[in-house]
Amino acid sequence: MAYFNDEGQEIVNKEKYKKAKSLFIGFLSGILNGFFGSGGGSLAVPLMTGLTDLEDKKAHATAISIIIFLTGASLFVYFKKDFIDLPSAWRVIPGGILGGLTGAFLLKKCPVKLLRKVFGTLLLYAGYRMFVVK
Amino acid sequence: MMMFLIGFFSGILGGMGIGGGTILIPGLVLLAGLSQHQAQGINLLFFLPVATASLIIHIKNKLIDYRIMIFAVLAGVPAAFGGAYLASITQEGLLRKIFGGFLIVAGLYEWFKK
Repeated sequence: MAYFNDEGQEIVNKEKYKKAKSLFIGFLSGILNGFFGSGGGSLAVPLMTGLTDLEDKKAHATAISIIIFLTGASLFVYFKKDFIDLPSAWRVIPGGILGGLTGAFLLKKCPVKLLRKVFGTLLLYAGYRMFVVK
Repeated sequence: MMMFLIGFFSGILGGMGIGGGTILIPGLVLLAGLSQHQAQGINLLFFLPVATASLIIHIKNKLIDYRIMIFAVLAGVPAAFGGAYLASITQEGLLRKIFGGFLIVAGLYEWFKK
């Protein structure tokens, strides 16, 4: 069977192992999502743009569509094991939603490249603290 | 109030597509005193409404590759069950340290990619 891209050109090679690649991407993202309760997307997006012919925007959207299912599966286990602290969750989530809207609004006006460096530094510091605390 | 601010700050980063969860979890552990498992659980819960909202827009804009999605979900769901089970049998302090290592790798990646 032949596949065609948006311009109608036949694309064989990148499509050829697409099922296997998709299974691979899903498997790794699933392990990460379950084990860390996060981070599935930071792995799935670069894997998809690297291994398949998806462009950035589509990879981002497709990653969310996948991770929503993975999150459902992970949450099932977290609920069963009693790791879900609902009172805390209700205090965090409203701020998160308000912040999400603010972030999407700020996106047009912010130097994202610089912000990524700040974010990276913050991650390094947080990572270090997670090691030494307690 | 602290929890609201942690959520707000992570939400801003998430809304900009930079990755909110990677900062929400250490924030909840280091500043709000939750256990690593509880913080991870809140992040999972947090993801659902935010992702659903953005997914509706992505479906309308036809940005989803359904073939990749179906096969990734097929392998990913059992893997997520496995990963979550693995987390549940991992001791809190150890899980936190592994997560710290993951943050350091992610931080270095932000600095050195491209």
